[in-house]
Amino acid sequence: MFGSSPEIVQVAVGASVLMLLLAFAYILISVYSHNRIAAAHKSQLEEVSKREKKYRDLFENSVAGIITFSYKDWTIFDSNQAILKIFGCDSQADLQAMVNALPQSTFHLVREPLLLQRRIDNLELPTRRKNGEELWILFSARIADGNGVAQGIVVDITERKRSEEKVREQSTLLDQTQDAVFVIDSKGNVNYWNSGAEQTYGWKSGEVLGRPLTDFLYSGASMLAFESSMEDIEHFHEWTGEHVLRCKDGKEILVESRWKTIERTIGGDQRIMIVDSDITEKRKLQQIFMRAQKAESMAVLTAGIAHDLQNILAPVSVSIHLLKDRLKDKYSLKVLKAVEEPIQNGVSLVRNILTYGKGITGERARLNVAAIVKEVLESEKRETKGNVIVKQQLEGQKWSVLGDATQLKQVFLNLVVNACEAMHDGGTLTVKACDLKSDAALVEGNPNAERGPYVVTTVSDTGKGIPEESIDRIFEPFFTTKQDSGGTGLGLSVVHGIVTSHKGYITVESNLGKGTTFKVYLPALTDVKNPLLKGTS
Amino acid sequence: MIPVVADIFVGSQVVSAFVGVRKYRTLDKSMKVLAILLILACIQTGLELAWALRSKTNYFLSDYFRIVEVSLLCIVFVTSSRLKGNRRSLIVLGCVFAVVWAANLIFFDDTNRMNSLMGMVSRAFMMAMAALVLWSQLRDERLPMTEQPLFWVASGVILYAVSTIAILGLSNTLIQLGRPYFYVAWHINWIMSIVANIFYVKGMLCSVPVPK
Repeated sequence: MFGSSPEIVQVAVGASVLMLLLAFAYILISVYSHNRIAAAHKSQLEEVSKREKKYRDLFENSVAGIITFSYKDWTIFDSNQAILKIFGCDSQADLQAMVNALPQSTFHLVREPLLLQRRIDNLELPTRRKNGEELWILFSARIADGNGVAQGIVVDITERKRSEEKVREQSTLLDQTQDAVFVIDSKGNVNYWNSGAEQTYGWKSGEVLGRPLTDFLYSGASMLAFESSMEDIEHFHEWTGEHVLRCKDGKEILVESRWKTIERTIGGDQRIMIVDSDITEKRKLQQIFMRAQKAESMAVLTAGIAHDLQNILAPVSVSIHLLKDRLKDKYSLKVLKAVEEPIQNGVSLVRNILTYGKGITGERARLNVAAIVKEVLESEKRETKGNVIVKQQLEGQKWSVLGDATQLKQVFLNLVVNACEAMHDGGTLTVKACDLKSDAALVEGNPNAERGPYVVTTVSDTGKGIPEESIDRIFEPFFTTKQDSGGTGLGLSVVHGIVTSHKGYITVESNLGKGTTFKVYLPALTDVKNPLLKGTS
Repeated sequence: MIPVVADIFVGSQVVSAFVGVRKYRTLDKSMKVLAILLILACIQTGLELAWALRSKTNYFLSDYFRIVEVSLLCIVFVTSSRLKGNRRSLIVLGCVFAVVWAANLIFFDDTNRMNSLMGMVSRAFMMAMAALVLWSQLRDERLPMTEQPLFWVASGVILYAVSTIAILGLSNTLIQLGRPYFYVAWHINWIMSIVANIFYVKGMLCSVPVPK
């Protein structure tokens, strides 16, 4: 029917079918395009969703607290678990209540930099947890948009703050200690220098930090000691010993040094902590004390021997006197005389030894030391050679001492004679006497000294001096450096014995080639108006 | 003798109107308008039949129904469209058609003949609106296209409009050739009307139910 239809019908049907096909094509293309777009969009959505999940996971699982808030009214929009944990809150509402209770000063601290710089970096804020515990937080934030919303990160730094506080306390403690405490690295550069070190060595912390110790503390022989100590510390991680170090003012001091390596958890490079105690004065005192102890022992020993010798010599001496009256022949008297002389020398020797060993107490009277010294110098003037110049400064001495004039005269005579003998080629003998009230410093420097008034007599020469190895032994009996010239080695031991028996003490300082100074400290009576005796006259 | 396809077409109209009525409460705004359109189309078909059985000319019914059909479809598309520019274009198209229709009614209408020109114009406007809607649907990636009611409605409109535009344009000529020839061509109109009704029903069925 359709084939035999007029052309117009065929055209109408054909056109309709054609347009229908086109419409179908259009619809199919639309569906196909939509599916492709939708698939792409779905893929994008999935990607966005994945990314969102990733960031959400990061947000929720972050150790740092993350918060979104309004810096206008402090409303919290979002917060993660970490921030709730930091503040000890159970929910965001809890956290909001805590934030609302914060003081206005805290809000100012946060708002001002946010408004000025649009961000806050590492602001340390003190606050409290919900249960009232102290809490320190490190807060960073930035403005997220123009509606007053900001995003912040909160890190709990309470433990770090406590550690810092502990370090500060320990540092203060280290500064309080008198010992020099400092830390060096493996190359010897200073990393820490406490105030004790500043006081001990005179170098300020700012002057030495970063500098090697060998630049300013060690020099000469001590440099070798430093290198040796560094080698030891490398192997044994600890070292203890003594070093002679140079201070800023050039003075050398003896220190007891304790070195220990510090294990470092960060950085790797080894550190060495050094604790130095200045033992210069202590060592001097020890030497003085040992010398005194030695002298004391020698005194006891020699006094015992002398006492026995005296007992032996006394009957011999008495017998000689008795025999002198009985024997009349010349030969016998000649023999007696030959025996008497060495016996008298022996008795004299024994007396001297007893004097050193405090065996002789003597009489005690009020004396003026300056007068005794003058008398000694007058008598000795005849003996001294012409090339020795004698200087005396005795005018200022006013106080009296309680003592035996003969013994004290012997003391000063021995010292003056020794001084003159030390100056073979001439020199200057200086004798001074003065009154002195000993203070704490003087007492600390000498174990025999006590606080109170002293008359100090100084005998100085410009002779050859005493070698360092001999200076500890000069007060020992029979120790002499003048064996060739017939010295007995009892002079200074007798001086020491007499001075000690007068409750005084004697010090010696000597520089080889420059001279020696003896100082005799005798306890004084400060009543100067009515001295019982002036000198021995 | 009315062809069987015409009976099926009437049946499809009744079924689609019935589905519209049945699901009316759960339909969204645009689908409700579509349901109304389907009911009105059903009524219009009934009236046309009634007029034909009484051997009276019923062309004027088609003329009046065109403005209703285009306007309601325009409302369906405007209320469904999410793009502002698209809505504006649809409204402009609807208004232009209304003006053209009114001018035709005032100046050129001849109720004794089928208004083939306005039939073509109305199909052209419907086609344009549906094509526009279908194109805009490409950008809506929330759902697959086949799950969107508007896709089915627009596809139904396009298929119906493009397949009948030529026949409507030549309808008066075809009628003059005699009823058998007219029916040959008009089969396409009935078939595509059935397809369009099926598409409308599908559109209403895949519409997301409005919560009560």
